[in-house]
Amino acid sequence: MLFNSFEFLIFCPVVFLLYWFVFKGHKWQNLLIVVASYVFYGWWDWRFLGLIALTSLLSYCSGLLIDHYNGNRRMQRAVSAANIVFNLAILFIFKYYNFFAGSLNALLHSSFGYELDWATVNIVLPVGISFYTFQALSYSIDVYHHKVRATHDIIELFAYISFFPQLVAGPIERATNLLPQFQRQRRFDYGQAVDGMRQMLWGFLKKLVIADNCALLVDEAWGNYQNLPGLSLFLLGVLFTLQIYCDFSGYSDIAIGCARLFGFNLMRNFNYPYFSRSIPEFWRRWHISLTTWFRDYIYFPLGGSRCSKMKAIRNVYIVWALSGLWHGADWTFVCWGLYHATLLAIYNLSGINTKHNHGVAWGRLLPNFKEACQMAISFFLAVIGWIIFRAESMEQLIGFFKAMATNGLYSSSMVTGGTYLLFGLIMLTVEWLQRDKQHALQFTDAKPFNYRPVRWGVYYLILMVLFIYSGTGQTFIYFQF
Amino acid sequence: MRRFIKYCLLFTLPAYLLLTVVDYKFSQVAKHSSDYSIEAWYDLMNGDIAADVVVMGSSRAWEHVNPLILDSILSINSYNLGIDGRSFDSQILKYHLYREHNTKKPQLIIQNIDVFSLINRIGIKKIQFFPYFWDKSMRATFFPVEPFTVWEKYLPMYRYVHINPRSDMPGLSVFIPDGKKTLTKGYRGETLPWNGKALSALDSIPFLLNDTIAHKFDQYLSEVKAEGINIVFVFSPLYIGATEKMPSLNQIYAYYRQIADRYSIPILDYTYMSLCNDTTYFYNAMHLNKRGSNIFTDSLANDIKKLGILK
Repeated sequence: MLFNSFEFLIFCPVVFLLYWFVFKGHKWQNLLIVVASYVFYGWWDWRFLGLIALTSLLSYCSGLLIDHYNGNRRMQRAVSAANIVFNLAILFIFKYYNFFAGSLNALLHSSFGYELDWATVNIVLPVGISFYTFQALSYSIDVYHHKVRATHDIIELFAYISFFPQLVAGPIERATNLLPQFQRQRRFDYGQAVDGMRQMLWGFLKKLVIADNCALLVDEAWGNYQNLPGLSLFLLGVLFTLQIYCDFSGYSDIAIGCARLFGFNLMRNFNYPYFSRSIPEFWRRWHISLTTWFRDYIYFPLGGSRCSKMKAIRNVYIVWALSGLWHGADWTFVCWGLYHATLLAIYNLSGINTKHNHGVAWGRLLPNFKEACQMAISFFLAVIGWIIFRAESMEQLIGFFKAMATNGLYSSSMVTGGTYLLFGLIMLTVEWLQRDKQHALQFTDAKPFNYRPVRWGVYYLILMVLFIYSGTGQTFIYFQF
Repeated sequence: MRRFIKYCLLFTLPAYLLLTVVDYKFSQVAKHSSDYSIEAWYDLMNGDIAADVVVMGSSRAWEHVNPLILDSILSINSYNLGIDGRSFDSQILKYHLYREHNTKKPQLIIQNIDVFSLINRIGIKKIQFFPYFWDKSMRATFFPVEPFTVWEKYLPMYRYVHINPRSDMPGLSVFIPDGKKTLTKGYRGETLPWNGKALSALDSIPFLLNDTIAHKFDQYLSEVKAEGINIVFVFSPLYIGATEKMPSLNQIYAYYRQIADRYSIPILDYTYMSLCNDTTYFYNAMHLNKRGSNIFTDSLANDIKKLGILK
């Protein structure tokens, strides 16, 4: 079920009313969440519900066994490792089998003229498999590291892994944050619920008006890149940069806002990444739940930056190659990961300070010249990264950059994306003004927003824009991951 | 909690009601739109058609048969009920609506036959139904078979502002009347020059038959015959290039000849009429232009006169 579907418009209020009025104890509410989440996911394809259940069951059992072998570190390590292997095996089969089998087949065919017929089975990719697998892994790893106690309540764990607002595209929650919330009684908080609704509204605006409209143009023009001039191709990259941000951060806003309606606080996933002054800062603000997941579970165990410079850079490359593969089973994603690893390595080696105590232009309305230049450079580098990300194959990726360099700067066959760029600019302006808040619609108590008619006027205005300008319903980009 | 629900309702219900009222009022205005597909419903839904002869069919009916010429030669009152891009099931639904809203029973139905009428073709020019969203008879007749989205059905005004930019629908302004008229008694004379479109695709058209539609067509013929209404099948002109390119045409026409035999329906075949050799009379391979349609209607009216089936 998509957030931007009519089904969800019915589903959400029904579950909300049942949750607060019928299923009052937190254990009953957890049960309702599991049922609702499985309905939510099964709406897309019920056959893959078994996979989520299996992943949840493996994590539950591994938690119990780690608890059971308390004091026997070797056995605990073996159980934790087995759980990781099982979960990654499921992920590999469903997400990477086609990719690796195809690559192997291509290699054998080009080198020896040999074809692996058995290898070309087409396996359907279950929506959001990377998200819930990583969330499940986080539980057992945290139990192993004694960061969280293993739960003996199976419903609780199933609810934690399948919680519908963030099931298919995150934020990838940590057991340390989310699981305790399932273990205690939730109380309805008016302020939290209203703020959740606002965050959802802002998410819908970004997704339906900007992302979906940009998608129409980008999808149409991308296939014709050979005939477009360099400036148009860069503009296309900018439009995709807006699209992917509005699509994914829009989803996160809806997910976090929706969870707040049910009394849950999910972790922040985006912190205005396009206002970053460097690529390392960008990655501290973009898809925070995944970046910190890789940091905590891969980068730090590898040694992080507390080792020799060369090892630290090696660690960055390993993490980013994996991050690229996490995004999709294609060499373009690996390439995208390595591109960002290279940028991060350059920042690291050049010793540029990328750690700031405050956000950009803290306490000021506008950035100074230096900050503006830093933001422009970071944005440009991000655009180049997103072009790599968007490419459908390595041939297209090379062809796109070649066309950018050789097709001339300007011609009559320019892409017309002015309206969508304007929408994007307005959205970014509002986010700039609200950049010290959790989301752009988080009103302060200052005038005039302390008056209800003004706030409602803003909501109605946004609804009107949604009503008139929303693009044709597209699925979320990150569902494929 | 109660406060939250109260404010949610206070926020949404008045807006929803207001939009509903706006939708209703706007729909009344939009009925006067000069978009040909919307205009085609106006006389019919107002009960203004008191016709002796009605022309039925798809776009080839409403662009080929000029009721003014029929009226002058046959001394009757005729009306063209052709519906663009639609198969028999939509044509029959339109006929039922016509009978529901217009009291006079026609003496004769000129049923224009074309190659696509027995296959399923829905969703074309969906906007023609938008202004009649609040009309009970239209809802009951067409809406069960139209692919309306749930948003279009349940969110007032949504269907007007949220038109798919990829389709041929031009936007909200199409619903706002500008006082012009594009149809004459349901007929649309096209003045476009020959463009050769559709010719290249014709050789790949197979003989397709949707059993449900064929059954509905059969039922409709039985009903019409039972009411004592005469009916005549017309194979109206196609550009000769199209006739020669379409291997399935003979098969399709043979199918209609069988039906015609079963119901004793006369057939008037203009497939090889002399104007079919000249692109001057067509704007594409399947459709006559205004000049061609006037010549064709003249022949058709005289042939109907010869049949002697009109009182």
